Amino acid sequence: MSTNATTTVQLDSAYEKGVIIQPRLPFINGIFDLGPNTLIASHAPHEHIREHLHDHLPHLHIRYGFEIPKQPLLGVNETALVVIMMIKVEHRVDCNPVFVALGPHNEGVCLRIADQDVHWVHNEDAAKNGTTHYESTGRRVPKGFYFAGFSTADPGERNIHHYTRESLLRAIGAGLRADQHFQATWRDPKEEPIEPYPVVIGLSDDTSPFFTFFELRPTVALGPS
Amino acid sequence: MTAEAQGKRILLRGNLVGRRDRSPYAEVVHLSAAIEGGPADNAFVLVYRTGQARYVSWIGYFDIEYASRREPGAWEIVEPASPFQREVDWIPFGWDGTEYLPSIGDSVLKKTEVVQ
Repeated sequence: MSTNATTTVQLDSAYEKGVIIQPRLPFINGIFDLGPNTLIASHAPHEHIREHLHDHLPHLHIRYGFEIPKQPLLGVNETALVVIMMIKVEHRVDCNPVFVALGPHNEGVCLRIADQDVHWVHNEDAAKNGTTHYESTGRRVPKGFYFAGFSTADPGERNIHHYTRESLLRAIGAGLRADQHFQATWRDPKEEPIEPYPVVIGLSDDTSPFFTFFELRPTVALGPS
Repeated sequence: MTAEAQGKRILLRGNLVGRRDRSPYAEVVHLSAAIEGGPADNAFVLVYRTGQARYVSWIGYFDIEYASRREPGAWEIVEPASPFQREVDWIPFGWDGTEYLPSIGDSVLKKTEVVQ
C-alpha cells in the first residue's frame, strides 16, 4: 500500500466548503467598560489607549462577538478570514486585534493563530466581493454608504495572511469564541462628532462561497417591538 | 488648506514615515508622543512645505502604499522612519475639502482611479 495515498472528499454542496463563522454578542467588556449589548458607540477625542487607533479624533466604536464552531474545514487548504462592514462614505474604518479574554490591567488578550496575533489589513477586493454577495440577495447598499473590507494580515498589517487548515483547526479546537472591535472616523479629519448609525457586518473567508451578514444597532431594543 | 490659514505655532517632533513629492508637497509624520497644544500621541499628521500641519486619518505604512497606488509617483515611503522636528503652524482640522488625499475605500467608492 502506498504511504502517499490521499482521500478524496466529495462535498454535497459548495456551501460545505469554507469556514462557518457565527455572529454573537461580545462577551468581554469593551473600551470604557462598554457592556455586551453596546455595539455602536460614538466618542469625542480622548486620551490615548494602547491598541486604540483614532482616539484623538471623533470616532465610532463598532464591536461584535463571533464564534467559529468546531468543524472539519473540508476543502479548505488555506484561507484568510474576511470581514466587511457598511459605513458612511464620509468615514473610514480601522480595526483592532481580536480579543479572546481580558488580561492583566484589563487589557485584551489577542487571538493567536499559527503562533502570531491575528491582525487585519484593508482589502477593497473583499469589499467589492462582499457587496456583490449582499446585493445578490436583493438588498442594495443605500446611497451614502459603502462596504469597507478587511482580510487577516501579517503583523505589519500590510499584506494578506492565509492560515493553513491545520493551524485553523488547532485554533478552533472545540470551538472558538472571540470579540472584534473596529473604529470609524472621518476620512478627512474634522471636529464634528459622529452620529451613531446601524452597521451591517459580513463575515467570510476567501475560500467560502458565502457571507454571513448581520446588523449592529446603536441602541439595542428590549422587549417586544 | 489655504495658504492664509494660521494655526498655533508648535515644535512638531515625531518620526518621518513618508513624503508627497508632488504639489502640494508635504511630509507624513507619525507622533510617538503627544505635544502639548498640538497633535496627540500615535497621530499621523501631514506637514506642508508652507509650514502648516494638520491631522490625517491614516494609521500606518499601508495608507502611504495605498496613496502611492492611487497616485503613482506622488508618494514615497520612508522606512525605517527617521526622526523629524520642525516648527509648524498647527491647524488640526484645517482641511478645506478641496484638496484630494487618497484614503482607503476610494476604489470602492469609484472615485477617480488615478489622480494626477
